[in-house]
Formats: sequence, C-alpha cells, structure tokens
Amino acid sequence: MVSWQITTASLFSRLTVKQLLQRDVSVQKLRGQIGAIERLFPDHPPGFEVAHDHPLPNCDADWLRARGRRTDRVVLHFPGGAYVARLPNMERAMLARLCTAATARARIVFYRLAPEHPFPAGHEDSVGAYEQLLELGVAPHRIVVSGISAGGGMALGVLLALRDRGLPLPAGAILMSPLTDLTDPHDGSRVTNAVRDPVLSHKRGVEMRAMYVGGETEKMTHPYVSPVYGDFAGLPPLFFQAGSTEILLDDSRRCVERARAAGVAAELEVWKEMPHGWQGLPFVPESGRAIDHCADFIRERCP
Amino acid sequence: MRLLRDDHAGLSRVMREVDAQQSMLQTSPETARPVLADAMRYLLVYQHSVHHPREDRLFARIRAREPGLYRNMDRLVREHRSGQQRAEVLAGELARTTMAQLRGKAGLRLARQLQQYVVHTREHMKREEAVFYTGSERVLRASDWAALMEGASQRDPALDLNRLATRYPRLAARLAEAERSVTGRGESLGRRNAVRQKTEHLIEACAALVHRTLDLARRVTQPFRR
Repeated sequence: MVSWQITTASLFSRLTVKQLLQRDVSVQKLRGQIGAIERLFPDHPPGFEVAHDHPLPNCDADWLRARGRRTDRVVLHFPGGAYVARLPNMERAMLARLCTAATARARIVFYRLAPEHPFPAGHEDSVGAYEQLLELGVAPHRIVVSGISAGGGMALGVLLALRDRGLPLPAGAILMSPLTDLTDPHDGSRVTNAVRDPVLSHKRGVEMRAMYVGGETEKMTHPYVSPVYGDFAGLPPLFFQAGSTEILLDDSRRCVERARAAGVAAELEVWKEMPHGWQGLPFVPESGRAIDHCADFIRERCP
Repeated sequence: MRLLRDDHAGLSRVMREVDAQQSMLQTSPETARPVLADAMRYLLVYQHSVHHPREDRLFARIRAREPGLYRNMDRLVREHRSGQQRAEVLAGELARTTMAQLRGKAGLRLARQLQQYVVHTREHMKREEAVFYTGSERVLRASDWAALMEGASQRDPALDLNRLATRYPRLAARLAEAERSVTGRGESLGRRNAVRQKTEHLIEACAALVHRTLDLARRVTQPFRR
C-alpha cells in the first residue's frame, strides 16, 4: 500500500508543480516558484556541517559532513532541476539522510545552469569537481557519484567523460529518476505515464531542453547531454531508481539495457506508484526506504 | 579488515533484496518466499556463523589491547547473538507458514518482522563502521591480524553470483536480474488503482482549468493594476 504521505505529496504536486511546468512562465518565475518549496527545508540539515572549503572555479560546491563522524566514503552529488532551476536545501536534506545511512560525507556540486550557461558549462563544472576530489587525495574507489533527475543524467554524462579522458573511475553511481534522453522520444513511458506522472509534464519540454543546449538542437544526442546514446562500456556499476508512474521511467530502463549489453553491472529498482524524485521527500516513508537501498549500494561498492 | 568489509558489502546487497521481497510477501508469496528462504539461509550459514564469530574474535583482540576503547563493544556482541536468534525464528516461520496464510495477516506480520530485521541489521553495521572499524586498524598490531586471519579463508558467497548460485540459486537468480519491483507492503493493484487513476486525471484537469482561469484573470486585470 502506498503511504498517505506520498498520496498527499503526489496530489499537491499534481495541483502545483505539474501545473507550473505546463504553463508558459519565464525561467525566473519558474525558479522563484520552485524556490518557494525550499521553505519546507532547513538551511543546514540537523547534525550536519555544511562547509565551503575547496571552492570550484566556476560554480558553488558544498561539503556535507556529519558532526563527530569520520569516514572516507564520499558521495559526489549532482542536483536536479531540469538544468535550469534547483532546490539546494532539499538536496542537502536528502544527501544528509543518505550520508547518515551510508556513513559517508557528500560533495554537492551546484553546476552552472542554463539558459545563462548552456552545455558544456555545467558538464565541465561537474567533471572538474570529480578531478578536484582526485587532486585532494580521495581514492576513486571510495567515491560514489550520484544524481537526481537532471542531476542523474549529469552524473552519467560525467562518467562517460571520465572514461573518455582515461581518468580513474569511481566505485559506482546512483541515478535517482534520471533524465537521460533530451531528445524526448514520444513513445514508451513518456506517453503511457503522461497522465499518471504527478510531477513532470513534457508540454514545455522542447523549450527547456533547447535552453540546456543553447538552442543547438543537434547537441541533444551528444552522449554527455543524453547519456542513453552513449557507449557504456567500461563504466562502474550503476544503480537506478525510478517510480512506476514517471514519464522518465524508460530513460532508466534503456540505460540499464545498454549498460548490461556493454558488460556493465547495472540494475533498476522500479518503485510502484512513486512520483519523480520521491527520494527527496523526507516525510515520506518510501523515501526513507529508497535512501536505505542507495546506502546499501554504497556500502556494497565501497565496503 | 578487508575481509570484514567485504562481508558487509555482501550483506548490504542481500539486505536490499530482503527489503524488496518482504514488501511483496503478502501479494506474491509464490515468488517472494523462495528468494527470502534462500536469503535467510545465507544469513544464517554465512553472516551469522562465519562473519560474526570473526568480528567477535576481533572485538576480543581489541579489548585485550585497549580495554577502555569502546564502551559499546558488549552491545555489538549481544546484537550478534540476538540477530542470529531473530534470523532463526524468521527462517522457521517462513518455512512453516502456508501460502494461504502468507496472503493474509500472517504474511503482513512476517513482512513487518523481516523489515525490522533489515533495519536492525543496517543499524548494527553502521555502529560497527562508525565506532569500531576506524579504531581497530589503529589499535591492533600485525600479529593480531595474522592470528585473526588464521583459518579465515572462507569468502562471502554473495560477492560472486556464480558461487552464490551453487548454494542459493533462487537468491542468486533474483540478484542477477536487471530490474526489480519495489512496492509498499500489501500493495494491491487492479480495480482500486484504476479508480485512483481516473480520479487523478479528473483532479489534474480541474487544476489545469483553475490555473488557466487565474492566468487569464491576471492578464485581464493587468492594465488596471498598473
């Protein structure tokens, strides 16, 4: 049975977020209205220290560490928000729960956003953040890359770039409801879940996706933009989670298919009736369970 | 220490599967039970009988080197014993309960107990990692590790699916699958969901109408507001 909390959250999202994403509003207004949700989350997750040491040249990045707990596991996280907006407090709160469950610390990379900074700006920021971790002496086998929604697509794009550049790869990657295909194919879950999805709508998808690639639509099939078109050979183990009602469900399914065909250990958990990005909702029991599964994956890949 | 950490890796992998299967025990007992039975057997045969005694020996060495280092070491040892007892009870109940019973309240109760077992096991692992693992590498000497490693050749079968398949075939087959479905407990699909979907559709249409009306009202009143 789905919890009453997720039913309420889905209904709320259907009435607000999904409507907002379907309407013709400016990016500034979109950011402002999505930002209002931030008020539900504290600036600093309780029991955690948010530090800004080791700044990146072009974007902000936080360290999230549990007070009084030492660990060498690092989660390098890329936030979601369709590459145009973000909810930093919500992401920190989610990461704090993940770090507590997995005895890890997190590095959150607030890569530059479109339309002000189209691809490859955000991608380069994200790759740079991983390179910086290596420069700081963090062993690659102690790093797990993670991302939610667009951040999941970013994480996969980063892995492909790291492999292409011959850099040592992290121990694994957690992809939560990732957006991996910006060409927005009108088939599969994007059609079958169009009504069932309580969060996302692709009515304004064309415009938003064009912003990320700076209007150069031919870049949409670039593997660092739409990783589902990439060659997955040589990537570390991948752990996907997606809700059964998401329009993006097939983005995960296709990636898992391609990854396994290329000999990569990849698995997908399809959570029945869960909306896009439910892992970020701290008051939802299914979110806690999903985060625990991610923590199990981290412990498995970084014992 | 590497061996102990690897044991936790295998345990984490199986815990994830136990949590996924327990949620389907009531609705799909014919698929969930065999996987859970294999998982419980693996936990009893390897984790409780091989891994925990290893850790207990490690605790004893640390206690001998630095008696005052960790106050909760006794608690960790107690948890090993209580965890084993709980796993034995759960494995027994899983074997005894009929399919018809699993579809009813007994299935729901057993699923809850399995979930609690998973929660306790994860918490126990966290306590060991946070308090104990970091310190033992500092306190113990090479001779301690050598003594601990004597006869410790057995590796966690969960780390190698081919090896796991020889003893726990249904668990291994499940872990090898590309996709797993995770539900809330007692998930019921079908007619109720169909009604829910229609209601959601209706709600969404009404919400869209309200938002469009508000947008229109804003546009119409904009010149007057200026």
